[in-house]
Amino acid sequence: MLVTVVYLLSYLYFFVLWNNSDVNVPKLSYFFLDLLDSIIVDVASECHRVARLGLDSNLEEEDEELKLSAQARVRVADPSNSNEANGKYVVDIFGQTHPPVANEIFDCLNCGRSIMAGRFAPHLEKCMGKGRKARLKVTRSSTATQNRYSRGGPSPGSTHSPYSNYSTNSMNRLAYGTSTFAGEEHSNGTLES
Amino acid sequence: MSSKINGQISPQPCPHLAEFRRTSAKPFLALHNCLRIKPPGGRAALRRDPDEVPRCCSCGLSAPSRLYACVTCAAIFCHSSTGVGLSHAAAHAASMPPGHQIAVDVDRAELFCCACHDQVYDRDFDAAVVIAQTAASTLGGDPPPPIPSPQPENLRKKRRVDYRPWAPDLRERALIGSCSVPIAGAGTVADLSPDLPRGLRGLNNLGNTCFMNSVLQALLHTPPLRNYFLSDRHNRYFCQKKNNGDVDGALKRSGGNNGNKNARTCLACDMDAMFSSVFSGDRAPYSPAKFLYSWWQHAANLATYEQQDAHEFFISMLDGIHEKVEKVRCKPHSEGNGDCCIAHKVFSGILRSDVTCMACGFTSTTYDPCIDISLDLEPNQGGSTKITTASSNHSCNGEPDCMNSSQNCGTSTLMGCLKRFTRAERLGSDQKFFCRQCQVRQETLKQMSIRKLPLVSCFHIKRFEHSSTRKMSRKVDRYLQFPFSLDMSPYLSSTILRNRFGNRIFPFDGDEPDASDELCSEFELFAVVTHSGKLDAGHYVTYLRLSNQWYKCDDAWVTQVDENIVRAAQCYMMFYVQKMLYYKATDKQVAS
Repeated sequence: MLVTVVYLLSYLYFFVLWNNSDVNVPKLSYFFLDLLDSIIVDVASECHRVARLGLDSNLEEEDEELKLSAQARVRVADPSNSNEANGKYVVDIFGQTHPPVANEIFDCLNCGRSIMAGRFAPHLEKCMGKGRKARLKVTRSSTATQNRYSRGGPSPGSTHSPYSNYSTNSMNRLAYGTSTFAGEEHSNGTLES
Repeated sequence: MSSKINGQISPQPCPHLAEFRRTSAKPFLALHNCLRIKPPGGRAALRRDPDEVPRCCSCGLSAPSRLYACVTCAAIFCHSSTGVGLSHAAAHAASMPPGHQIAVDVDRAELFCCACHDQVYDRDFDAAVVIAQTAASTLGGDPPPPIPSPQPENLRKKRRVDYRPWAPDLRERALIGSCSVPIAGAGTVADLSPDLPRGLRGLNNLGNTCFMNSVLQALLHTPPLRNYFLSDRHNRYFCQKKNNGDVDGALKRSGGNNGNKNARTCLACDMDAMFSSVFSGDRAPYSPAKFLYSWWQHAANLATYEQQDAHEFFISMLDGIHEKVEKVRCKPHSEGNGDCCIAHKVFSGILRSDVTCMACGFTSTTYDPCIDISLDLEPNQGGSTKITTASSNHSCNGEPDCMNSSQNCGTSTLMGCLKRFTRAERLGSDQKFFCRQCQVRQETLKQMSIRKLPLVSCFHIKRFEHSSTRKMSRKVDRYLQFPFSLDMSPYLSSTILRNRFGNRIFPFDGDEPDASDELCSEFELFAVVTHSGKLDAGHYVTYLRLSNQWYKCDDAWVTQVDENIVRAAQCYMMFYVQKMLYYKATDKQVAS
């Protein structure tokens, strides 16, 4: 709606500029007032419909939420408030303390060897023959991207990508340090030949 | 009084409009041929001929800004007066016998009551305008789909089952007594913390697996998913027994050990085992080793000791549950209809994508399933470095107002990101689409909207930024404000289409005739996955909202935190559940 007003005002500006070459001042002011009235009625008509049909959004709720978030950020940033003490190495709500590396012992599901919980993932990586030693990084990135596109993607008959803000899997990645292949851009099929 | 239909108020018609509708059989039938749509997809106007210049019958002027056509006799009068008092339109209404009070604004196609001097609204008139606008945009293209006629009787039909309180009868009570086991009574597992919510339990970090622990904590407390597994809808003993039967047949055919191992992997069974352990009342941290082993077998490309992306794990895990359940049921592979497995029943929604030709207004629509919504952060306004996201480079937005979509200038909000997601985006000149009506490639407008909301909405914030000039990537550490209660109705397909057609009273795509659908668009936040650190190394933490109290799940450590810490956190994934599925805090300490 604001865009409409700005657009019409710009149009009005050019209209006045173009008509300014004439010396006919009464006709100019007549058209000016008529156009201004038309703009005002346009906006009033739209606002009237929104108000009568109850379509205005909950602006008060939004402002309340924004205020709460602003207060929360101020309170958390204040160092005098002792909100949380470091997070780790403290007693949790069950009264338990935990070591930095989990020390529960269980048998590996692949080879049956006893392993500590905190070291299970690196052990399983070698045990299953997967991971950085067994595979190249480019294979992993391209397989991940291929895996994502083969599942529930747009049908070949569709002429455009379903996501307007969609980017490839490598761009959605976080805490994954393959900066070499992060710049890869796979075609979404948005262009039709 | 006015009744609420689809979030829209049906206003009480003024007595003149009601009288007019009573006397005329089909009041607005003659207007169908006179409605003209300004090029392409513009506003509706009223003209007898496309080139007609309407004039006032009293003063003969065509320039006045407001001309009204009487719906009874089609005479046109303007709003100006000769200085005496009544305008020409009002004078016409007063001089004629009753039935001439209702007029139509010629340039705006709005009903106007000349006696009340106010705009009035009618469902049938708005339907005629929308039908004319739809016909104009699909002229020559595909025949327009049959638009459902809005019948007031259908508005009261309900599509969902009414709630009825249930108490077990004798047979059901016997079934409960014999086939169920209490989770934890006074004599069974010793619950050291009986006042804390059930299901709160730390997850051990098995080595760079905080991404898995954070998502698992959120899924363990997703209300529909938790209800599904805790009520034994997927029993791992029955599933294993059935799978063993399949494995015997497979073993005879191939005899491979690897096939034997992989056939017994079921992510849903491991989820069932995890739910049993976490909700057992034991509060010692749980090691999800079996789940990690099964998941690494399913997603071999992600089976690595490196730190992974939580969102990628979420997608992969739901994919694994979907595939395994599909195999078990021996059903045909129906992709994304939302009824195949519990993962899609809970998280699956439908996105609608409209592509509109800017030359002729022809609109092509596509529907696609989605199990989460990935949102871009709004472009940085206050920062000195002008770095845009990769997907923003593809859109040439000529609207300067769209950048200022949040209330506080400079603060990104989730609702601002959703507005940006559902905003009409003009595709660049290098992405012209082939218009079936123009038969040439044209510039187009593309707009996303949500056709069907899932039971649980997962929003993923893309905190990944790629600078094409410097060929490097970095993480976006900007704060994003997110509400604890979220109304998704502004982003539904019905709302987006209604705004496109000028907020007319009409059942648009996705408008359910049930009045209680208003509740389905209200969502409550129950889990937030946050990330701290860099792009290649960091830490994930989950905040859970149970009985309106926030708990921080940091791998094995579960602590109680204040609400302000969650509001100030740097959110990466947010889980919202529909309000009717969310259990508020009550006087009794219910384990929600």
